[in-house]
Parts: sequence; C-alpha cells; structure tokens
Amino acid sequence: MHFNEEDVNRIVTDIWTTILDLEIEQVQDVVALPPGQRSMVGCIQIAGEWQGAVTLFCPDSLVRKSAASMFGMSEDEVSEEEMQDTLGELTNMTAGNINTLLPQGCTISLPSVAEGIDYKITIPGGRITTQLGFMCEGEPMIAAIMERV
Amino acid sequence: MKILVVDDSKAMRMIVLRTLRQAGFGDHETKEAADGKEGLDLVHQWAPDVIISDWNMPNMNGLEFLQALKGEGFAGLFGFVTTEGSPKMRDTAMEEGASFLITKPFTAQSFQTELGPTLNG
Repeated sequence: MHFNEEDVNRIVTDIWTTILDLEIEQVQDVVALPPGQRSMVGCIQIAGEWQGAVTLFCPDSLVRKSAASMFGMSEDEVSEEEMQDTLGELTNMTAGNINTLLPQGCTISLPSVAEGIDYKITIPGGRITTQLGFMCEGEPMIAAIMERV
Repeated sequence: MKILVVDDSKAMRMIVLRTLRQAGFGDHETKEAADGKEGLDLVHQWAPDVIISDWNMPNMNGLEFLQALKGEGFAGLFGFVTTEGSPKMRDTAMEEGASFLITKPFTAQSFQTELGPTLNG
C-alpha cells in the first residue's frame, strides 16, 4: 500500500505540535540519528487486511525533551520510564491515525519501545514503504511505515 | 462532578487532565486508572459521574470496560479518547452506549464541545 507523504506529514506534525507544543518540520534531505549515541524507537504493529508496523526513531535527547513537555517538568526530572511512556504514546497516536488511512478493520497493537546505540529494526518479510525525516527543535526524528508482504 | 480518566499511558492521563483544566473544567474532582479493570474497581469505590477512557489498553480494553459498566447499569457519561476514529469504531462506541469519541491529538475545544453540556450545567 502506498501512503501519501502529505498525510503522514500532517499526522506527525499535528501530534507533535498539539500534544507537545514543539516545533517540528519535515525535511527532504536524508535524516539520520547521530551515530554512536543512544537513541530510542517506538513501534506499533498493525494487523488485518494490511499488515505492518509504524515506527518512530528519535535520539535520546529528543525523547527526553518530549517527555519533559508531556509531563510538564524539567528535562533533568524526567525518568527512563516516563521517556518510554512518552515515545510509546507518540507512536500509538501516529499509528492510530495512520490506521484510519488503511482498510477498515485493521487493529493496532500496544506500543513497544526499545533503546540502544546504532541498532537496526527489521520485520521478517517486511519492507519500508514510507519514510519521512523531520527536524524537531534542531534534532532529527524519523517516522517509518513498514509493510509485511 | 467526579471525573475518572482511564488510560494506560501516564503521560496521556496527564495531558487529558491538563486539557480538562484548559477547557475550563479544572474545578471538578478527578481520579486516574491505568486500564479498564482498575477503572471498574474505582467506579465501584468512587462512583464517578463522567468517565473519559482510552480504547486500546491491556488487561481490560475500553470497549470491554464500557460493556461491563453498562451491564452493571452505569448511568453516567462515558466517552472515549482514542487514537483511532474510524467510522466503524465510532459506530461501535455509540451502539455500546458511549456518548462521544474524541481522537488524539485533541484540543481543549474538543473537550469543551463534548463535555461542556454536562460539566457546565
């Protein structure tokens, strides 16, 4: 299934500006997470007539900034658990909204969040169909949709 | 009035509570629950007038929570705040007795529109 980039961009920017009150903008240049630094990924699986996953990749520092905004506290006060909760919920909102673009009846999983340095996420039999790069408060964020074929 | 906010994300519960304040409903009493099962226990103990619930939750999801409440004769206002707002989900929610379905991300205006008639009265 082909996803319209404008739809995905609108979904992502609406969520980040409305919920987090952070400036975020899609960029056409290739966006990459800083190598050798800790980053986090949120993932939601979608099952039904269309099967795949929605993932958000963020540097650790951007998740911390987002969690601080969500919880209304300073970045120093944010816990690891609150960072995972924040990225999980951001991914949940993104996947839920993307699900409305899919055939009726597809269901989304609960979010999972992983973290590490220079890792790669794969879905067996899956391929990335849509990938958008964003810059948020000077930091990169990647939204990717993987389809299981 | 007593408002119960049910969501497995602590971050989202905080945002719902913040949005309630922004919508002008900050003077109502609130409590939180992390899933439908916890929510049902709180309903028995606390008897809220209004329930704002997520749909996609572990242990007992929002729809199961609503069905359990209706089975017990809950007569308060129940609405979903969820990431999915497909026509099918909206129809299902209304058929089961929900009063509204607000999709995330939401604004204070969404809350004012759906909850105003009850909470302002």
